[in-house]
Amino acid sequence: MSHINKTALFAFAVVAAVTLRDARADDIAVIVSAHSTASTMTSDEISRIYLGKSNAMKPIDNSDKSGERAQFYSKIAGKDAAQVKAIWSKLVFTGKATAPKELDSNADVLKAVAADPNAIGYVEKSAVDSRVKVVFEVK
Amino acid sequence: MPSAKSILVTGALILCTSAAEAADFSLSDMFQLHGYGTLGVAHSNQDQADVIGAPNQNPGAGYSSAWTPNLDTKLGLQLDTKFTDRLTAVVQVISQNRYDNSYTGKPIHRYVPSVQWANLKWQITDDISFRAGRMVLPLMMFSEFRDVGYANTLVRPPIEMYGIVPFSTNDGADLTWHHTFGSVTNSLVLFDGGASLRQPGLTLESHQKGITDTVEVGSWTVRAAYMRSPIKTTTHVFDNSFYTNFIDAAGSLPNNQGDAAAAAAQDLYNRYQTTHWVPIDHYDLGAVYDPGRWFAMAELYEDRNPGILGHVHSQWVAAGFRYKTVTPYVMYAHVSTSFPYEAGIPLGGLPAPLAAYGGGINGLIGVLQNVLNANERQLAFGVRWDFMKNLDFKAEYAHLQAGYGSTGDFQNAQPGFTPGSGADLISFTVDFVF
Repeated sequence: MSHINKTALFAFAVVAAVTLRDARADDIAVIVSAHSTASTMTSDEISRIYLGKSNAMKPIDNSDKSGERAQFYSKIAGKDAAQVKAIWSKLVFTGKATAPKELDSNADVLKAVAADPNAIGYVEKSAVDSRVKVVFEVK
Repeated sequence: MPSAKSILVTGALILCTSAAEAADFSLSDMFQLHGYGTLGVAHSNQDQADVIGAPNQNPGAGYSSAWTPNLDTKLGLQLDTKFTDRLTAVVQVISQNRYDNSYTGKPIHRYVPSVQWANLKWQITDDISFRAGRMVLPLMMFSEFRDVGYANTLVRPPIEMYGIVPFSTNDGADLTWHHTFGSVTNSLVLFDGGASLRQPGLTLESHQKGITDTVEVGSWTVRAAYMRSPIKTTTHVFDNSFYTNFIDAAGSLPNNQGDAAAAAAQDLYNRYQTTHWVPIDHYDLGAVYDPGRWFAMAELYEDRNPGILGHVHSQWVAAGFRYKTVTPYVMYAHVSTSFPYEAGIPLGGLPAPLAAYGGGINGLIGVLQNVLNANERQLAFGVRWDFMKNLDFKAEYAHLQAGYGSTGDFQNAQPGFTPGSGADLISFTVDFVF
């Protein structure tokens, strides 16, 4: 009896841990400066900015040391790191655009986005502060 | 004891550093160095001619060497300079096996770097930009980044289409209008400029002006282009006098009996002798559908010239499927050339020696049409594997088949090469970007 309870408890713990981890991994906030005129954006608009199709805003990227980057591109654009790099290689080596600046930490992204009303970035949702506003949540 | 020179250099560095700090600006904001390249090896089983991977490439794989790095190996370096947010410059230099402008007559100089891009860009408004200098000719869908292996799924774009136009650059200017309408992005480019090309035994000049329009919506990219490019050769096989001597002689016959022949010869001269500008119209239409897990693409190209180059038609399609880091693909390409029927110079009523001369010109037209009749198809199966960050590996098997009576896109064809023959081509490449 106690053996069954233990197993059930363990299974519950695993499910809870996986659920919690998934919940945390889902929490990416797409942010602009608090001074920006943008209030909400669609994932299509964000995707076009981050794939260089639109130059409406200046995208700021996270370095691939951050956990958010792969998830962001996968959810926003349906593309993996190599596909995104290939797309930017087309733009960079034809002189059409320069690749987004890559920053190492949420703090650096927040600082850069806060400082430029035309910038857009993405950070862990829990890192968001009053210097920026959230225009989209990546679920 | 530091030398005066080292003091001067140190002083200049301190000045620059403090100036940069004062302006809250760093060299890394102003300059960015990027690069790309491919290490490749290819094998062809056709030992009587070479398969090439791009126009102006020589030698290729097959007759010259069964295994060769010369089809795909290249290195490109690019320096981006940002003077202000609105004024930028790009310089890109590439080293590869091309004759282009770097030809010096010595095969050892094949990999001499040539300038692919060198222009100043003025971003006039958020939507409108103007560039002046050297740009890559934006004729076909993948023309501008065909050399960047990492940016392409296939080993290389098909020679059947991307080998038709020998010019790859445009020295001049372009104007771009890039605008987003709701969920549709439209990019319109007007360009005007020229290029020249030196190859063994041939110097070509081209004026190039045209328009391209690219529409991106969702997973679709659709692109159309038109270009008018008069070309002229400054070296040529037959001197102008080959035609003009006949025209003069026929035109001076009594009773206007040679006038029809002289007019016909003049017409052939106008359309088949390229020592003066000969017009070519180019049309291109391409589409890519790429929702992420798989992709499909197709492109149609046609160019029209009233004489020596005839009408060239080319089509290709490709599709692939992405499974994690591995992307198998298949590609089919085709090119054909058609020439108008030429009645030639009417020889009736001409004195015998002049009739023989006119017959020689008629014969030459037939030979030219035959030599320039490129007809080929290619079927390729390949795979791209993104095995590491900024690196991919590709392997491809292709069969290239020249059309009936044609040498297709084969180069260095030997007397033992039968027109209409084919080749199996195996290619391996590693592409990188940094």
